[in-house]
Amino acid sequence: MRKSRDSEILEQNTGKTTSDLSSEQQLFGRFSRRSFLTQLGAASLAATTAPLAHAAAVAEAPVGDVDGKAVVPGAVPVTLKINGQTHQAMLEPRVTLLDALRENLQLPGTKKGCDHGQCGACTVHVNGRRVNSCLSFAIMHQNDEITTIEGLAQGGELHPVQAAFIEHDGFQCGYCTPGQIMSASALLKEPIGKEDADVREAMAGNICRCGAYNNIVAAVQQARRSA
Amino acid sequence: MSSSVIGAAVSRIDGKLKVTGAARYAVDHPMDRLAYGVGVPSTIANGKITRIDTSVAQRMLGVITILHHGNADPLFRPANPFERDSHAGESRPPFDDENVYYYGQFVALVVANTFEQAQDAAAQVKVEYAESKPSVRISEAPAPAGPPMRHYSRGDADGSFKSAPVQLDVTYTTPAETHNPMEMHATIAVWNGDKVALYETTQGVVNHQHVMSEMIGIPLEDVHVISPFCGSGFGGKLFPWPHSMLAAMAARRTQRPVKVSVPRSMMFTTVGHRPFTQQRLRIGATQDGKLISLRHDVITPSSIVDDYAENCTEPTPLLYSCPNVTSQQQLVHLNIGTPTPMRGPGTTPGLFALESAMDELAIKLNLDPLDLRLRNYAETDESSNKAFSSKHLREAYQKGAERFGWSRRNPKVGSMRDGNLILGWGMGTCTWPAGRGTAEVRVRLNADGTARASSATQDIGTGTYTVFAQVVSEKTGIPVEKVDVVLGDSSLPPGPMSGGSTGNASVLPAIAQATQTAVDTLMEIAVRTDCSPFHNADAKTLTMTGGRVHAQDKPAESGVPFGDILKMRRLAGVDGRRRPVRMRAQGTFRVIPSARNSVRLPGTRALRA
Amino acid sequence: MLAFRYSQTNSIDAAADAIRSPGSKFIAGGTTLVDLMKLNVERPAALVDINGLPLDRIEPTADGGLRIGALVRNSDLAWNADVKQRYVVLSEALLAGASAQLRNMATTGGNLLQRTRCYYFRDTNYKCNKREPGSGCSAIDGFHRIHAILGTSEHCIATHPSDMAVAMMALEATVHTRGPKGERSIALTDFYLVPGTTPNKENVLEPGELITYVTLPALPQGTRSHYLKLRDRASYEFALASAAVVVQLSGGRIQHARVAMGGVGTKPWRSKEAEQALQGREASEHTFRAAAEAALKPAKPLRDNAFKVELAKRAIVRALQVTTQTA
Repeated sequence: MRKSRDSEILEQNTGKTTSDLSSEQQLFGRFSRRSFLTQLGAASLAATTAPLAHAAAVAEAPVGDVDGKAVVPGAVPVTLKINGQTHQAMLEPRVTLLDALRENLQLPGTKKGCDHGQCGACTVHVNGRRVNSCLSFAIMHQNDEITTIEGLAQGGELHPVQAAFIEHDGFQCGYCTPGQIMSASALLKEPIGKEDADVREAMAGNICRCGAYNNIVAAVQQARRSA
Repeated sequence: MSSSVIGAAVSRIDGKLKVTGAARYAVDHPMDRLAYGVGVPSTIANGKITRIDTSVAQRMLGVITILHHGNADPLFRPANPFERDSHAGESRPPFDDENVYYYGQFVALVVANTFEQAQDAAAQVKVEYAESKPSVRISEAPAPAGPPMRHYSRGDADGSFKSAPVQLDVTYTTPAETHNPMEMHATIAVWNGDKVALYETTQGVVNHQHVMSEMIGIPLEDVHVISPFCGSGFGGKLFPWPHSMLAAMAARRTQRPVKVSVPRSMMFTTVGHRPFTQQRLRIGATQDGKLISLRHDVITPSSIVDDYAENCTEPTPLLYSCPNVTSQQQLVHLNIGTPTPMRGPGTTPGLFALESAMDELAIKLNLDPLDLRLRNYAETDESSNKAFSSKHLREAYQKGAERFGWSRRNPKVGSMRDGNLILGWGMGTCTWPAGRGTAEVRVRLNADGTARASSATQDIGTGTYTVFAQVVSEKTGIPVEKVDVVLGDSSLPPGPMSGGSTGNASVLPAIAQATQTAVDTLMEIAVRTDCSPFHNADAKTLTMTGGRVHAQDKPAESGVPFGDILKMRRLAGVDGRRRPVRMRAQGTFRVIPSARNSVRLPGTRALRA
Repeated sequence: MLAFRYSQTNSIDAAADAIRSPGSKFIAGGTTLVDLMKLNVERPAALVDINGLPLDRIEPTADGGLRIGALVRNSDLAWNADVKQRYVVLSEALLAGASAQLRNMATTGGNLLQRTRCYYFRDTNYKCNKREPGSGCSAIDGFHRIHAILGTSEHCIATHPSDMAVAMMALEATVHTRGPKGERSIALTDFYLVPGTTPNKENVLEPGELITYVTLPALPQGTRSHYLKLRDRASYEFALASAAVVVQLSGGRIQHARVAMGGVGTKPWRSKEAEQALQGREASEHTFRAAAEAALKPAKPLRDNAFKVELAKRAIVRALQVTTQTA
């Protein structure tokens, strides 16, 4: 069973090495550093039928474990429902939802672009609504349904917005893309006007420095038509 | 047989990874025992650090160590300009001394178990300074450093200006600009004994590897730079910046992987920018708009520690026909971070000034601005007295004029309206050198019918992954979906930086040649394998279409899938980088080696209007 | 960010209780608070999460007005049918603010209490009388292009950045609170304080006092309203100058007029001077211009924000033109 990364903090705080710990407590049992480097060194960009290899790895990660001890001083048990799965982690109250996703829950699909709610790269859904995860604390969301980019595709099928982004080439470097897609998919349920200008206004909270805006608007409009 | 892959609207092959959040950027990679480094930036622009008080910070929960100039491991300087492939953004290693050279310079790094602990402790590091008055504007700078740079001269621009019937003397300034890609600069450094792996976001894994090897002071082969995805850079990620060295230093000191992310506020101070420019244009012309004299004098600032000159005068000597031309650049040193290339460095602000001056000259002469350009059209490159390998600027002017309805333009300022909007309508000439760098590519054809292309170059959003797949597909007929592309790793065959709009031009010939070599080898295998249908045939009579090997004078269906040929020989695959001993001369698929900063092939300049 | 104790409550009484421990602050949407905590400008020892309080409804009041719970999200308030129909300026002002994501998080109460965007306030390396009374104001001799021209003092020129509050000023809102001393109602025009010698005091709330509702009175029949926001970018940016106007015409003459400005005041700026210049007058550009002149007469521009004087005047004129359809 893979522990949350708090196990490694435990090691630091208790002075025990990895080998002192039981195999259950070992860090990232399946993902040793060596295997990571091997995997990443051979990071072939498979354009074949298993393009979601990385996403699949995340999905396979066991969830639901909790470390009874407060391994980070001040950390408390926090339960979060993300993409339909329950996660438990020991988090300080000051950990933002964004950092909890990226650093504690191995869901780095959501990106940090500014950490101050000014760029939209960190957009996730809370109870179906788009929000900036960098401006909210994880501990405040224990009763919420959270959806991240990793949870948008259902059963291997891309969400219409994801498919539209590919079709209209709505990205270049791809870093703002998860935020754009989370924003656009939530927008489908908002009372936005029909025109491109309305879409631009509604998407104004997501910045793209590569300048893929025209294609993003086209992708969003297509998704709206097929929604 | 020409495939439609090149020029077809192929979806990016990395698209699915990007839209599902599966693409891994620098600090997305999970690590065992990860520690976090948060920087303390200087709050003065010029002076000395007199005291760093870490007494509170170092006792805070989770803090492992605090690095600064008083306790930093020694770093070295990059060997550039003595070596080719090692340019650092800032040649001064971080924590080199107690001096502060610009606002927002790293003066300390707190390393802690969590990001929150590191950030909290960083705010508690108390730094005291002996502040000196900073110079941050050209007007505040001491005298220019050294003689003019990039001095070019033909004829007598000075004298011919004085005697010209029409004279224009204008000075323009352009502001500093920051790259600020969506992905902030960041590094994860992981040591394994004496070797270090660096998860980076970079436009040049090879250069990054060289620089880190030199600045850390370890052998090149002990540095591994990994950057499969880069949240763009716009030039700012061509060269490594101080945080990268700090991550490596912190990881070695703590014996743990360390992640250092440059916060958005420091993206304005310590990772380069396009500098402010001040440009004086002096143009002398005849009454009917023939250029007699052209002088372009530029002053740009660099940091105290580096000489970076924004190359504004690059196009001036060749853009127009003019017998007397002088251009030169002057550098001043200010208390700012070292500038760096950004989106068409030098030429972009340079053309702004030159073209604005031409516009003002047109007004002075009462000439149509397009007409003025045409009257001074350069039939040859007068700076080198060579013909352009191709130049279609005149046609571009003409087509543009037609399409935009230029004839409907009323030149009187403020004369064109649309409701209560005042319309302005102008044109300008634009040019950029068509350069390319060295590139090595390996292409492997696999027995399972797939292909794999790899190179230590990068896709920064420019579509390089897809371009590689397209070229391999074009030459073999293997569908794009069956071509794996591996980039962004310094352990791969050395590839070019992703900069200067040189990427595709650099890799395309290499991909093509590597593919061809693999295909040629495959043919040799086909004719020399007993159970092959082509056994003892002449390899030169075979070809590959749609992934099938067949005789050239027969249709593709008559052949066999290339993977089968390999299986017949029990080969897992064949490499396009290496060739069997008895084959034609070996070659790595290097495209014309070129010096670092002038990657232009002589005589090839593409001009675009 | 400083570590803090976290607690959560679903009862107003329990919230009032929890806030009593020293260094405690309420947190709702968090869009201002978390931002400032990351900058170490706000350093609460404890946060009381009030998102569970039953204060998220929008309901009509007996006198034909509207009662808005303090925890109603900005987006919900902007999209509400009643608001869109009867208080157009409020919907427009909300939708002109921030981004969709932020509007989904931010609450009515939090929007009223948002802090200034002054660069020096937000950077603890600079002297700031709002953060530390008596330490000095870095903006007055520094970069102050976005700063206020109305309600300033020699101690502080920071602009109040809200759009919603400006609209609510023009709509004559009332703020309802619950505190240690019980409940009270405060006219919005009395809610905010100008900096004077105490820039650290931005409103009349007492420690432990929680905003529970905002009420809007009914507007006279046939009233029209509009919010016009002028800024450097087309969207997702604070106002350089904005105008919220509420106008009722009768026979081409102005019967009821309310004018408020944003982006130019140290608090959301209601201009009774402009309203007096409009009352009973003919709805014409001449009248509007006179009202605008009256509104900006007390302005104290500085070197870098002097442009706001004319810009704010034109915002008022244009907003009035749009509202009376004489544009």
